[in-house]
Amino acid sequence: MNNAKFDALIHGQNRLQICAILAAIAEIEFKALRERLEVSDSVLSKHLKSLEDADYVAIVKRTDMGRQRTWLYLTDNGFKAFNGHVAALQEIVGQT
Amino acid sequence: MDDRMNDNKETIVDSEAEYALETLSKIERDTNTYVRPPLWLTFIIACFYGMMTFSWASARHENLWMLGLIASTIGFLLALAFYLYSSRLLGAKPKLLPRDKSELIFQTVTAFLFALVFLLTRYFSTEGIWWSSYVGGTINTLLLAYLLHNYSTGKFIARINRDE
Repeated sequence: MNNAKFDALIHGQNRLQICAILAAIAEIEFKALRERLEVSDSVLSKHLKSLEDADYVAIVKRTDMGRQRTWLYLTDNGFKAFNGHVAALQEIVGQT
Repeated sequence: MDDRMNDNKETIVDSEAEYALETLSKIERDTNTYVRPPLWLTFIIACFYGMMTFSWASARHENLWMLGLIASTIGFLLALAFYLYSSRLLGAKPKLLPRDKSELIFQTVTAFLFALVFLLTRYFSTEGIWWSSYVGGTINTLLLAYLLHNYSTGKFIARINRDE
């Protein structure tokens, strides 16, 4: 079954990186993701908000050893959309 | 930031798609480097697993290798738990279960390989080939260390970063 679907929301440079990192691991902390991407808090928050609004990313706040940490993970919708987007890119360059 | 990738475009050209795929490939390799255990921990986890293979193959009714199996299993689980706990403290939790078909296939194949080495080592050892325990233990140690180092995201990455 071909589920390739180009997704303009995911295709932006930072959002593509966010989805790629989240697709490779279970969860990542906001601070760790910010350091990976080398962007500011506000820029990352803006991208995460748009991905969260599309139900691609879930944001969970948990208290760990008395400190609140924000964890992010890719939802099933986000995972499907990301895989579909990658498949669409591969179709464009003729890798499929 | 590179401006070859635009945010608000419905259609893209070949070169842009190729660039995006290259970026993705690099991110996958970087993420693997980021979440994999440090070399010393990889070595400890793999050695405990190799010891489990060796102990089970060498265990007989009259010897103490069953104790070795229990000790190495406990050591393996503790080392694995330490890896998961330290990853959590560092802000990245590795995936424990596959999320798509390609990951499922990759992990099933590797699990099958481990099980095959485990069972064949035991079989040949009980048949009287004493050195099979050493060979099986070494193979499983090296295989696990290789997989932990290069495929810690649980996904097959076609091109490994040779610049490391």
